[in-house]
Amino acid sequence: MITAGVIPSGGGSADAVRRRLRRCGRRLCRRVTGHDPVLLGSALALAALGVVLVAAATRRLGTGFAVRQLIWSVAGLGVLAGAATVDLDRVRRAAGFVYLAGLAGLVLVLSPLGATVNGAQGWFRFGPLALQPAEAMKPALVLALAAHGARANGPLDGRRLLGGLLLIGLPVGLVLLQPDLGTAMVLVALAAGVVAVAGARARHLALLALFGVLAVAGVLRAGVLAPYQVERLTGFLHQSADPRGATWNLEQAKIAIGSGGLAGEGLFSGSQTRLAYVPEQHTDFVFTVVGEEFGLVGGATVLLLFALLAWRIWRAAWRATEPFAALCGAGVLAMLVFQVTENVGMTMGITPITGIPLPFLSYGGSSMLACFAAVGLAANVARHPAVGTGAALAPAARLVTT
Amino acid sequence: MRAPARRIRRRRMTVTGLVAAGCFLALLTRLVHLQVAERPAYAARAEANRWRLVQVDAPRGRILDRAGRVLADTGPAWRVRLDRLPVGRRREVLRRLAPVLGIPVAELRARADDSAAGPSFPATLLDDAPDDVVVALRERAAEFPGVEIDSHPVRRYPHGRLAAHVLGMLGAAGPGRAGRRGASGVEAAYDRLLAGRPGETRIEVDSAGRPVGRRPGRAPVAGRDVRLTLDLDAQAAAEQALADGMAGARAASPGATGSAAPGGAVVALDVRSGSILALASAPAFDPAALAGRITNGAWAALHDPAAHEPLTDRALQGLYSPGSTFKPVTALAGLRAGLITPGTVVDDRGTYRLGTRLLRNAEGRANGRVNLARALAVSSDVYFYGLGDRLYAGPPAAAADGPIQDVASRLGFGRPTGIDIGPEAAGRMPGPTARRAAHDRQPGAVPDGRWYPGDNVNLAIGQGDLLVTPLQLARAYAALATGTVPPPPHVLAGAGPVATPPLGIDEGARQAVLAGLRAAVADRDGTASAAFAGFPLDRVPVEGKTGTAEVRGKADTSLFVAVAPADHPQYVVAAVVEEAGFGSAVAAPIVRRVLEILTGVVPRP
Repeated sequence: MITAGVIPSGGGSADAVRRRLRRCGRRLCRRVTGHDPVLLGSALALAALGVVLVAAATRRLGTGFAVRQLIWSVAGLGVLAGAATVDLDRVRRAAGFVYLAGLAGLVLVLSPLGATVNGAQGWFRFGPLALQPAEAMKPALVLALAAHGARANGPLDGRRLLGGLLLIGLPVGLVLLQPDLGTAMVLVALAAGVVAVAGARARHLALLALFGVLAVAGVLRAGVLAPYQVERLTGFLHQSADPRGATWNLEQAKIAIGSGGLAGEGLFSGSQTRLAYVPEQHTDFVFTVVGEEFGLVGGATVLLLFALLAWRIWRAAWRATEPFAALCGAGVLAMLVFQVTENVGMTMGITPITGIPLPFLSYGGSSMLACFAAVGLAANVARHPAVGTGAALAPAARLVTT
Repeated sequence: MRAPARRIRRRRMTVTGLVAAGCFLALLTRLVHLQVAERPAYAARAEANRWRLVQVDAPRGRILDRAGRVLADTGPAWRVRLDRLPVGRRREVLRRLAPVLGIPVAELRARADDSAAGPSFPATLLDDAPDDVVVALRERAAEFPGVEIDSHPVRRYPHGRLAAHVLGMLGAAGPGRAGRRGASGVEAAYDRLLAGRPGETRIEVDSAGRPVGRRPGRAPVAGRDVRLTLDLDAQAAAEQALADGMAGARAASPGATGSAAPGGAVVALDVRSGSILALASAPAFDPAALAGRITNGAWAALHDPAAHEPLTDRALQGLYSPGSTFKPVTALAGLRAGLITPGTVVDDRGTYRLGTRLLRNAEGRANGRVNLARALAVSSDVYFYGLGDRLYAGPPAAAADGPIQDVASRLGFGRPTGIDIGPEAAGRMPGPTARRAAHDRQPGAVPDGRWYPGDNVNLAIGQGDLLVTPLQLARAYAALATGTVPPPPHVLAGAGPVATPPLGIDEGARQAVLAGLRAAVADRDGTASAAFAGFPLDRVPVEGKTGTAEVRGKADTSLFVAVAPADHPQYVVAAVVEEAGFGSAVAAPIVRRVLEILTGVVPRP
């Protein structure tokens, strides 16, 4: 034991206090140390890059957006620290409560308390602040499903799966009522990740996939979405059919990325970015800033950072012995990979255009906090490969052995 | 239980990892494809996005008279333009602009909406803003967002309306093109010389179309100057004399039934070269008012029937019965046909019986015994009624159509003169062939396709279906005076000599007719003698012929054509005034004043 040499051998009540202090200090030390530097480093690097990209995309409008993005990132660091250091077992026990709080937020936002932005009633406004409860639902659903899967104490049978589906269906339905198809898709994707890793039968999963396809088709047809939203979604299937209309965004995004070339135009020098040709560039289309101003080098670097982050989350989930930890990792991984793929893909015209932010890079406080919470959770998992199995001291042991 | 659960979890994690890796691989592949393979295309589109090519007007070349005096110049003017604004903002700005520019809001809105210039181009509100307006706009720039003021070249006319029809109008250059193009007159005919080549500037615009920068491109190339054959002094004299003549005709016969003299034309030609020395048409327009943007009100005023078509160049397009000015043609036809000799005498008692109809001289005057020269000098209708009658019945000429038509055709009637500016009317030369063709074409309008003696008699004195333009009339007299086919009339100076083939008319016949024209001016009772009283005919002999053409329902057209100096023909001047009465009273004095300037009888100003 690394601490053996510093524990005093004797003493009275003062010693007991000192011992307790030391134990506290050790616990704190364990909380801060033992984290995966690659995982946290790639997340922090992305968040830092996000501030720069938002600054580039909104330079014409002053520094307001960049400063706010920086503030959200700093706040996100607090959330990250909390999520990464909190005792996972307590998290598991609190998962139900977190889930219910998230649901309450989704219900409340549909009431007159909520505000409508871009046609979706999904925001709470507090003066200059605007928060999206749907974003908070993403980590909350990961927790709830992971806890549900862990309770199964084995592969999900049909009954457990139905319970899980209920957990998924409630928030997805509420989010669709806003309507916010993008976030609903993220919720479904991360839930699929958790349910699959939790051991649901392949047969059931195939059935669910079929149901999902039918549901998407139904949503497109049922008129839940405004026609422009449907057009935007399906626009990538018939690109440049109407470059002035529905696919205008996509065309401008592709021009920005395509014109970046190998090395890019340089920070603040991309004409598409500088002259505001890409709508929603600081939010959903932030990847076009990377593409135009930093070129293939920058774009590949961003993808590499996301891949590193995904790999380390995957690794944490793989190594986790406790089902709750593993399922949390799987959920965060699914959420991250889906959002990156969908968002970056849409800016390049290979996935439908929906309002899904790019984690850490897109402007927006709720998304930033949700991503930091999710990655914090994954970092927590990475630090606890054997939580609750009597191997709670494993990280310290690892320090000795390495 | 736990171990198999973990095994399943790990198996599923492997699949999840593979899916994630596949996703990243797909993204990277697409990224490489976009940024490497498709980069040139997208880079070009990014360039096309941000740069707008804007034309820079080239200053038009000047238009000069034969001595190099400037008739039309190009100078800088302030142009007020409005950039694209949100609808509400624009309404507000236009409302504030209206009193400053002195233009109603509705008119401003119409100008701002003019999309001919293209979507990203600012709309032109005012082409030639006065300095005080520009100062006001600059001082209060904050009140007028989106309003741009720049300097651009516009046409200037140092002599105002002088030679407006010759110079012509400028019109819009067409969609997407800057500047103005010639729409009529010299501006249109020699547009390629005058226009120059517009330059280009590249303007960087943001997604809202707002300009954020510019990169100078090709500089504009100024147009070339064009020198005309026009004589500024003769032109001024012609226009002034025409205006005075019209005013005099109006004053001489007041009242609604009298002559209104709504319009007229003067043509002065160099008989040898065909150079146009003066070309006046009244009423005229103000070319400066039409050089820039033309307001709807100004356009409507120009097309008001009460304005008598000021845009029409009557010298080229006005169609008139030549009246007695046509008699030399009939005389030549008679001489060629051998029906008369210069000495043939006719007893003019004031009337001529054609079948059952009794035709009269003007005012029923009896001229007594007249030979050809005297018949021309006093303009005896009876003499030419008889000649026309006999030419109908007489020996068929070599030409199929008739002896009068043959001579008229040699002199250029019935077809365009080929002048280098336009448009130009062809006139109308009636005859048996034309009548039959008209009947075949429109049996309803021309029920009888035959040519009658009455038609020939009418034609003999320049009436009936015959219509000529003032330019045709002047050119015919040039041919008559020189005995050669004159070169096509032209206003562009610097044309080389053109071969002038003989007219194919017997010299004796020509001299006999010219003697009559001299007598008309010089003899005491010649029709033009009063108009040329005091003119030094001994020094500058003049040959001329008056014409007073009847127009159904209107006062007579007053005409006069003259050649001078008669012994060495140099100038031909024709004047036509609508609804003005006798040629001797109105048109002849106009011609005299032009000849005075051309021959130096009266010193130039």
